[in-house]
Amino acid sequence: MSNANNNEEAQLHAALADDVVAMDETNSVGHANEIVARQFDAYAAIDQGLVEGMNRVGKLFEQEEYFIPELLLSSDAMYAALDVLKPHIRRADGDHKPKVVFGVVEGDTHDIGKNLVKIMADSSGYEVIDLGRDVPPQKFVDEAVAVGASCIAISTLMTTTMDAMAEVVTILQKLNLREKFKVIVGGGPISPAFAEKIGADGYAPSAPTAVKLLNKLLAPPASA
Amino acid sequence: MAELTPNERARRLAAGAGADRLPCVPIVGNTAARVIGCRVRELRYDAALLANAQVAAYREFGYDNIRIFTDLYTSAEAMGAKVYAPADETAYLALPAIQEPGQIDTLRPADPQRDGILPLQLEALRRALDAVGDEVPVTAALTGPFTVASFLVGAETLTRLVLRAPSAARRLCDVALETTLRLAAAIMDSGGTPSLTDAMSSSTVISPRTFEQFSLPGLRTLVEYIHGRGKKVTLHICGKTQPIWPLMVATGADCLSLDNDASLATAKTAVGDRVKLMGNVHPAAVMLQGTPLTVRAAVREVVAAAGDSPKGLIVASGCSLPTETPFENIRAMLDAVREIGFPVNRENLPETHALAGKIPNSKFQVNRNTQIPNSKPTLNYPGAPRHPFTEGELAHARKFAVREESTRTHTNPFPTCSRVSDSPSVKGWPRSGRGSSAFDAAAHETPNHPGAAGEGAV
Ligand code: B12
Ligand SMILES: [Zn+2]
Repeated sequence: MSNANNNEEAQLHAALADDVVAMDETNSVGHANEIVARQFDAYAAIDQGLVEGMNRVGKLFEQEEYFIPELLLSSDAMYAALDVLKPHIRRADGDHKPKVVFGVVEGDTHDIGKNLVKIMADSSGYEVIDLGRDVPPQKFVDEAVAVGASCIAISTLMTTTMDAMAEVVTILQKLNLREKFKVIVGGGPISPAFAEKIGADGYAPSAPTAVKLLNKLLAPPASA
Repeated sequence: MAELTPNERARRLAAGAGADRLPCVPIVGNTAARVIGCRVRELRYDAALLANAQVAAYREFGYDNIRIFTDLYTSAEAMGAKVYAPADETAYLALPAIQEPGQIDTLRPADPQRDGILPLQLEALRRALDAVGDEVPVTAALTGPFTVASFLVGAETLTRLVLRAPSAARRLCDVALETTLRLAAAIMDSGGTPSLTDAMSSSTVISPRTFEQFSLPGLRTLVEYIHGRGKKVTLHICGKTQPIWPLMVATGADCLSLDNDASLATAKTAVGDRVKLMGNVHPAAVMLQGTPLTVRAAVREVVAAAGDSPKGLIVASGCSLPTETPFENIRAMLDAVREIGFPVNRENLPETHALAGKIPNSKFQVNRNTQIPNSKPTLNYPGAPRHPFTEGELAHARKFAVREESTRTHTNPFPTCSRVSDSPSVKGWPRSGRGSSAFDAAAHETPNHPGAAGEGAV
């Protein structure tokens, strides 16, 4: 590939990232189509364009420049372009996405935070199996076994439902499955100390840090 | 001084005549079921029982305000949303009233005398007033229009609409406002006071700019209407609120009820000269999980932080109490306030926060172009009361907004937002199966986010 081509590819990556940050679905799809038409590498466009854009969005969220509406629209722009690029990812890349079984514990129906973590993990190359809200502890375990997950992720915003998180770990231990899955926890009242106390593998305070935590605990995913 | 009734206490404090103690409101919601030994769901469908429970809880603990409340969804339910009420837990939203934004124009404002369980809530209010209205203010929770709108279409759909299709979002907020105005009217016709609660307007969820555009106009209309009928009103928003304190003040509310994500010492400095403050003992970490000793310590911190707030303080929980909050902790809250007495003796209170004295630095600046709406509330159902506020009151509100602006510079922290236009195509709606569809499809929860303390207490 020529230098000129390299340069144009890099510019398209930058444009994709900007589209995501600007919540601009029309442009993100347009730029993704250009990537495909020019036969540039789809995986690189996801990684250096879309994921880069979502990372910037995550930072803006942490800095309280972006709020939930902005985050959701950015993720719409990201998903729309992802739909265009996905079929063009070279095969081997698409395969080994670590699976994460994710849900909000029983008794709790706050799901905005869970959904944001899911979006960021999705865009960072994990396959997230979303169990929704009000999920009984046993169901986390059953699903993780059924899909061959690498990780169980649990969210709650209520102090009154934190204990259900511990129960997931207890069930895993009882079934001799604890070593098979990483377990991570998060949400308002959760702390690193609580995560440690219940025997989880990790805690993260936000969606971007949740992805970093996944990256640390699981081998970095091969692709998006 | 002998223990005053809440009404006497409020009157004396308002007149600067001194009192036995600060007002205190542990925000008791469905914990009232535990006081009379019934199940939470029974309160939702039995007006006499709901009134009995709330009156019994007031008598048990002696706090300064009764609030008729079962859950946040009563207005949305009366407009067609589906609520699920577990036998012994707070109800939650099972399904929004409409499944896609295209149906917004099919929504009709509710009739509080007829729709959903609103008639039961009004009856409970009247019964409680009959029983103890001469000694304690009785309020009824009124979920704010933006939060009602989120239950009508699904929280995630609404948060997308505000940026993608602002005019559709506005129509939705308007029809929610109409319902809340009618309910406010019915509450006041019954002799009670509305108590505003608006969780989705939190800065934990939406930006200050979105608040300004979509939450503020409706809240301001409601507050103007309530004031026009001679009542004072409290506005409760949980989660982060510091960036919107000036805007919460601009609603005209008399009292801001803040939760533990807010610093009352900072709020005192920022807005304590314009509104009464209410808060903010942690409802879960302290009230539910703490002991009488930790409750006492938390109360003393609250009073140290804002006991001298110029417009007054109501010692309260930051949000409504979890149903299973131990009675001894609720008692401990009242005891701690009694022990501190009035006027507040600062000597044996903990050191005030280092923050006190500093103006919080919010990234959001009040917009120079903020308009105080000229429009008056439209109560256009048969027999609606005439809205009674005067040009003078509106002029006052406008002057206030100007004062707000002149002390602040205008910056736009969301330059990119301007690129999202109200595109008529509203492409890709609704976006199901994406990101987070569970959110839209069914439910957003069950809350209890209480408003609280209304008139007398304010
Ligand atoms: C919006 C809101 C609501 C909305 C929820 C809409 C929805 N679909 O989710 C409504 C109005 C419906 C609601 C209802 C209720 N609410 Co509410 N609500 C809030 C509020 C204001 C904001 C929550 C939010 O969305 N935050 C934004 C998200 C993005 O943040 P987040 O969830 O923390 O997620 C981030 C991180 O924590 C992390 N993360 C999240 N999950 C995970 C998981 C993993 C594995 C990792 C690594 C990271 C991670 O990443 C996320 C992104 O950065 C909070 C106030 C507050 N202080 O938070 C109260 C709050 C959470 N609610 C509370 C309560 C009590 C209730 C109700 C029970 C009220 C009632 N009594 O009826 C009901 C819930 C009923 C039920 N059984 O579920 C309390 C909880 C108290 C407690 N500690 O127990 C709070 C704290 C308010 C308070 N001060 O008391 N609520
Ligand atoms: Zn609250």
